[in-house]
Amino acid sequence: MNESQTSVNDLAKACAHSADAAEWEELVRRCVPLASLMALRISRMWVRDASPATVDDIVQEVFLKLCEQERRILRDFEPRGEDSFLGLLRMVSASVANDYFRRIYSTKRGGKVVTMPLGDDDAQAPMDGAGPAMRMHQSALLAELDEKLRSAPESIAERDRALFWLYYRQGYTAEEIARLSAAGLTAKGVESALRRVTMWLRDEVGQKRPDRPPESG
Amino acid sequence: MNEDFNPGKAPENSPRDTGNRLAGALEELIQGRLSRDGSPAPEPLEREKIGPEAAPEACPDPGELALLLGDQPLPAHSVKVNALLVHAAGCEVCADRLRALSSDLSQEENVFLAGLTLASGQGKRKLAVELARTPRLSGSRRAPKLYLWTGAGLAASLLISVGLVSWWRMANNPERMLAEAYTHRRVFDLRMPGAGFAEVTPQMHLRGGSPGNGSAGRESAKLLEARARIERHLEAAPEDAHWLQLEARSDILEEKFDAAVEILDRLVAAGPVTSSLLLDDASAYFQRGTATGSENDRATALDDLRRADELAPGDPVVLFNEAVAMEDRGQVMNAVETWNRYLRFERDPLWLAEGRRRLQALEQKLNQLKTHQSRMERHLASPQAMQAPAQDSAARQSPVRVHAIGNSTTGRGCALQAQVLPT
Repeated sequence: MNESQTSVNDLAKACAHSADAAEWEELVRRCVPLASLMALRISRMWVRDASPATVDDIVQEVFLKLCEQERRILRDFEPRGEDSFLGLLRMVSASVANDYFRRIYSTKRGGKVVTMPLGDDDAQAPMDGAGPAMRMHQSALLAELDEKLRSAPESIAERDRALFWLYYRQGYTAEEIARLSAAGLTAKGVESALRRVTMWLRDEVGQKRPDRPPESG
Repeated sequence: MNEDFNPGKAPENSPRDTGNRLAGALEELIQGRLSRDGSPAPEPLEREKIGPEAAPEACPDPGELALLLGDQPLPAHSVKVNALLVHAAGCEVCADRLRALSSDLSQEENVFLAGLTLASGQGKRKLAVELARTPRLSGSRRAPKLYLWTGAGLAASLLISVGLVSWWRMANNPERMLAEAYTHRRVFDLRMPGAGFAEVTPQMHLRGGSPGNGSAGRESAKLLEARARIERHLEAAPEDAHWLQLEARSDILEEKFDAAVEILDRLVAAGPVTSSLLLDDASAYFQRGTATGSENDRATALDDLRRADELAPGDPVVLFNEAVAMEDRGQVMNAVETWNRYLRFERDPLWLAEGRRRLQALEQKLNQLKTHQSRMERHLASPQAMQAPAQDSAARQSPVRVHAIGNSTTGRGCALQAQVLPT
């Protein structure tokens, strides 16, 4: 087998039953960057300063996870698109990293540690510079808009409602939303969905203005 | 900012005001978003926003958000994936974390990853060697499963084939076909081994099957098929005792009794003598005796059946035929005793019913004979008693008279017979 020309999906399928170190080396070479990146990012969400040793440990655990139960994950893997194994690897890496830190916190501190911000919840404020009363009132209005969206599930699906808020409230671009496989849309598809939800919502609140579709970016 | 909004004033509750306020909030939201389009995209790794202290308790663990980035979610995960997406849309921390997880590799991250042990070729090689040694389901372990399934499939096919062949051979066994032919059209009282119950149909009686009597060609298809198979076997092995016996049995069904008797006598003389052979020999003799009125043949049949009974004491077919032959020979007491034995061994409810019926009829006949006997004894006890019936008869002008006969030397050897004669 010419490992360097084989797709990562085929390589993963081959490694499910292979004892060939060359095949494994190629799979490791292709998968280590993504697994390391996911391990680093998840680590930084759990601890302030993730060390390289921690990330190395997590990546090794990711590969060992793939080989558990006589390589069950690799054996059960069914390709569902080009390089779909990398999507699976991304999820396995995040899951292993999560478990790694859960384990550490459970052992050291007797359970999950939740740190609540004690100060002002500026991070949640929708509008910079607004006072607390105004922010509260703004939140109430947004909650009413969300209620409108929820009230018509036959017109606005839950997914489209989530896309609307990711775009307008969290500031995601259409491309960023399209990167989420859970959205299941291309950037154009995201824009189209946003346009539809916006028009529907304007009609609902009685705001008859010319349609201004969201622009990409 | 919406011009209707006044932080110092309590919000209005009328529908129109509510609509205006919502429309204003929506427009403000849209404008706010559009105003951000020109500004640089937010930095995905602002540690304070996505770090461990940022997330409220209700937020999922950071790694769970990766479900939104994986391959197309499985149906089992779709509810969870949907819930995570909705949560991220409403939670600034999780939205930032999700953005951080899905963003492109930054320069800083690139530098960090380059410093990992596994970034080096040696580190990757070492890990690959370790992984290649991990336990696996190799081809050699899969093969037995394949062989196992193949073997099981072959065994099942073989079993089905054997079953089908056995069923076909059983269904086309001449012995069974003859039994079915008997059941299809039972033309005599005696039973045939293996045959199911059927009422006797004397109107279908086919004596000889000769062209002249119009019965030719009326044998059942089973009988003809059986006959053909028997003949084919006998062409190959003319002295095969089993097939000769079957030929004789088919002769009995076709009412070719002479031929049957000839074959069966030869087989009995050659031995070994079995109850089955004696049963067929008895049937051939009995039927020939019935057809020709030969006492001798029917007496020979009873002898054969007695021998068969000795060889197979619990065989209901032997007992049935023996009881019929005894009845025919006038051995009423013996027949009653044999019928009672038969009822103990027979399991087929229909044959059992016929046995009971015959026994009941025989017992009635016996009772009738006993009544006559006691009356005769009373009449013959003294000369006065002997004259009494005649006087009574004359006095009453009875329409019937009883004629008593002593031990019979003719007929069927009955110990005591009574006839009721018309006047």
